[in-house]
Amino acid sequence: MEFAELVEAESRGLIAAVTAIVGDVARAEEITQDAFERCFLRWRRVSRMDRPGAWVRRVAINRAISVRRRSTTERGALARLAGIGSVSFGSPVHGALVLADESGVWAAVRALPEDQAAAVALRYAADLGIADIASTLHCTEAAVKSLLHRARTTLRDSPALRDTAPGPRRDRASVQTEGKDPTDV
Amino acid sequence: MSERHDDTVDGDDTIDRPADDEANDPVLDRAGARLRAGSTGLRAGDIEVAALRRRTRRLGVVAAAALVLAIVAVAGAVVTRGGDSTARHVAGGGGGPEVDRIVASLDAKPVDPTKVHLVSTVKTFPGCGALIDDLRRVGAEHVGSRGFGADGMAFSTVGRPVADSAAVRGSPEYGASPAMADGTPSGETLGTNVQVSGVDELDRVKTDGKWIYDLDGRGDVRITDATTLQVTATVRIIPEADGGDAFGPSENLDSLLEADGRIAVFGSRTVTSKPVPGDPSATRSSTSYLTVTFVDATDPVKPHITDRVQVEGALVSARLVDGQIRLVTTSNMDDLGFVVPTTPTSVAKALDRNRRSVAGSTVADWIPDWQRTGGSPQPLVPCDRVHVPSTFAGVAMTSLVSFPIGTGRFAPEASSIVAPGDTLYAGLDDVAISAHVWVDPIDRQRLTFDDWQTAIHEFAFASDGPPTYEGSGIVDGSTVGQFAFGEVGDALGVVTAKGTPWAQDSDNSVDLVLLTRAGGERLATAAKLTDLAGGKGVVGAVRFLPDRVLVSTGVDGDLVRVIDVSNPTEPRAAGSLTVPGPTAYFHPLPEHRALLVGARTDHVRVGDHTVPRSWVRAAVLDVADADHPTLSSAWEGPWMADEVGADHHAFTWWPTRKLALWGVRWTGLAADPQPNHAVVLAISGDVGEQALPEALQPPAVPAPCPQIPVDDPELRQMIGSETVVLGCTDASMRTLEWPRHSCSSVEADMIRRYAPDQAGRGSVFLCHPAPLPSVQRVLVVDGRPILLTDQTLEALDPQTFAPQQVVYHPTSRFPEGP
Repeated sequence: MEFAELVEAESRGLIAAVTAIVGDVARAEEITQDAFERCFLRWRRVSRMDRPGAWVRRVAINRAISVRRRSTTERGALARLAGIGSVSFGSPVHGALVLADESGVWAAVRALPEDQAAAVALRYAADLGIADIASTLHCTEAAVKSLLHRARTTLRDSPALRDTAPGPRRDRASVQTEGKDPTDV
Repeated sequence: MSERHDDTVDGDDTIDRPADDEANDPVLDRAGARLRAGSTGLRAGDIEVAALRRRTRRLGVVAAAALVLAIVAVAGAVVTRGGDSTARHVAGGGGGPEVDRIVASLDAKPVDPTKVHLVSTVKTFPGCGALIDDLRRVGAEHVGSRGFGADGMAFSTVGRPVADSAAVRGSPEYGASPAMADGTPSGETLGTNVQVSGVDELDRVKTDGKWIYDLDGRGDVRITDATTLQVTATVRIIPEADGGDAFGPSENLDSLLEADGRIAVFGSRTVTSKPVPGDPSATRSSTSYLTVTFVDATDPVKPHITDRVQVEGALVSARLVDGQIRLVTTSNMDDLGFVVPTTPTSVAKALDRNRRSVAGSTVADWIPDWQRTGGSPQPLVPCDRVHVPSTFAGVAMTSLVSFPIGTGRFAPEASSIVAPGDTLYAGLDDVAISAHVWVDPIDRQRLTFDDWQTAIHEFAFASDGPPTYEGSGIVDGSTVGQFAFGEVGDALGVVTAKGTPWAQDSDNSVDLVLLTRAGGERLATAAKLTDLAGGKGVVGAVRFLPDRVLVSTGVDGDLVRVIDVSNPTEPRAAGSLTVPGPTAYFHPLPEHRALLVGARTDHVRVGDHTVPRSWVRAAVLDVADADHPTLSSAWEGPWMADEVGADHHAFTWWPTRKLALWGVRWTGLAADPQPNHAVVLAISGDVGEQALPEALQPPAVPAPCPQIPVDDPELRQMIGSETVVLGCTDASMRTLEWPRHSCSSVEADMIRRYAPDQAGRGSVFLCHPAPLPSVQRVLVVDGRPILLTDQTLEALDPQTFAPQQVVYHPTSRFPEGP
């Protein structure tokens, strides 16, 4: 595989997934570009891997999670200093170019535990299959399904997903999920 | 690649793909689709450029941390690149009323190079204040969102070092610099081959008739008695403290110059940064310095270092004329901390940042420093001798430096020009530097230029005082390399090709332009001869002879074209002839003749196979009648190759005896190794083989340490059947010299595994039989020819060229750490 092919195939979806995690498009572009630069510098090695895409995704997602984590800590500290009070975990990282999240779906995703948020971002924002998510997060496919299931169970209670849900499809999906594994929360 | 889901909301995919069944959610699917639709994706080309830049940055730990914070806070999505002083620039270059004023006065976009009209004038400024005002303003106009683009691929300095010019002045003495032969009454001594008589060039070896001075490849200068061939002294040039790093010592010695027992040694030193902590790519970047070390060898038994300095930048060329060293260096603006945008949204911010860096730059950022060991840095060039082309030519600075060799102390007098010294001619007194409209390397493939032109700036070295600016002219197209300059009468001849230097086409027209002084500081085109190569655009060797210019051209380099410049105002394309293979080198001979050294290849059957066979060939080209050039019968040597085309120092011309001497390598089958030779040709109207002396092996001596028997068959197979294992008692030994062998030390864990008896008791070396010696230089010292090979010095009988004496005299090609 050529490096350009990898960029072409992965960059859009990956920017979307990182945006979902950090809540800032410009920041997400930066993180994603950085991951691809690292990939390029060691392309000789990465290109020989079974899934070069998984390597670059892992670098970007790990970075996104650490940025999110640091930002959460910083906000907490700033908030305490300013005496503002508690801070929502769902706030975007920086104010520069916040993603268009009218519905608040991604804010709700960012409020999830980080491994669940990463799985949701890769599945829905990057539009990846379970196997690719598993190779990115270094876990089994069953574990990915479990992460997604738990995430969706939590999100079900979020106003963003409940209120903006479209009619029939939403209902069917909900029913199916609830019917399959209601206890795994 | 990755398996993907169709982003189908309406389709019944939950049923088609039961495995992912529970992973489908229409709300999240739609939110994800919106995110992807809002993302433009990335371009592989941008990533590659940014990644290569990242590799070049040399950030100190503190600077990096400060920079990352500053840039995250201010610029959002910008990746950093730049020098040690970046933090200073970010702090100082970001604001201030002067910086604001300059930035506010600029157009929204950098200067468009396709709209710049090249003018050939240069300007100077009375002091540093006026100079920096100009550089800040002009630099800020041109700098882009990616800085000044380093060198496209950003691995090398702007203005790469070029080989010595292959031009010759119309002088009656040909070749060989006059050796400083005090106290050598009888015989003749030849320095190694030079291009311009009276101008000694850098080389690995110099001789003065009694002593041979050379570099041993391990950081030392050796002084050898040319009579006994015994080394009388070795001077350590690279300090022992310079341990370098895992990649080897940080300094290499490249060449030397010598006059009256005073030696100047030129080296290059690379300062490699530590990887930035936390950077998983762990990239290391580097900066180049030129080192100059002065050795007083007037007492050849007790030589000593009298001075040692480092100069920011890289060596382009150095000459020794009348005891005066003339040095040309080039340096780029590594000090300015530039940023590179990583996303389309950050371009404007990065441009503003880079403009502020330039607008807030200081004189020290532009002018290269020099520094004596233990001293503090000082500017190489005073501000009033910095020449700035009226058309901005880029941010590299080419400096012309002059200092005496005899005082043994670096005392530079210099002038400089803000232009990359990538094409340069250095004659007896004159230096010509080409400069063109500056185009960001990023834009070079994108933009097209219809009438590309190049400015030629001429400087002159004087016997004392700093080099002076002589004048400038403009030629069409771009110069085709440093070898394509020469002097024709009073004119400067330049061979040019149409188009930009980075887009040379093989079907371009190649022209010869003669520039002459036209009053004041203007160099005007006195004459022009177009399409020298018959539309082929390929130029091999070029040589300026008196009244003639020889150009080797043609698709296979097999055409020799003669240009008659006996009337410098009216050069004309005269005759041409075809030779059996490419010409590597023309050596000028008296009476409008030249020795043509070249090669050809044929094919022969060896066993069941047809293999290519290379020949070295030489013939005398007579161009007295420019319209009807003639070629003598040729000397040809089968299964040979030489280095003369790549390095003219490998060729020696012995004018009083009319002999041409150079080394040739055996190129036959590896299974049947044959010795290498030197060629000695007698040149009259014809070419005759006088001798073919063999490069002998050094005398065999017993192994310097006891041999360790190898019984383990696995180990024997690994090291090869001819390899000998030696165990020495000194555990600290890292290198071992053994004539006819090439020894490398064995790591401690290998010893523990394969020779446990030896572990902890000393050092172990693997010694392979060395390849047969090959001739690097042919010296003539006090009338006696001496072959310098990679392993030996071999003195020959002056009449028969039979070997008289061979001594072991190894030169490491790949120096090991001290």
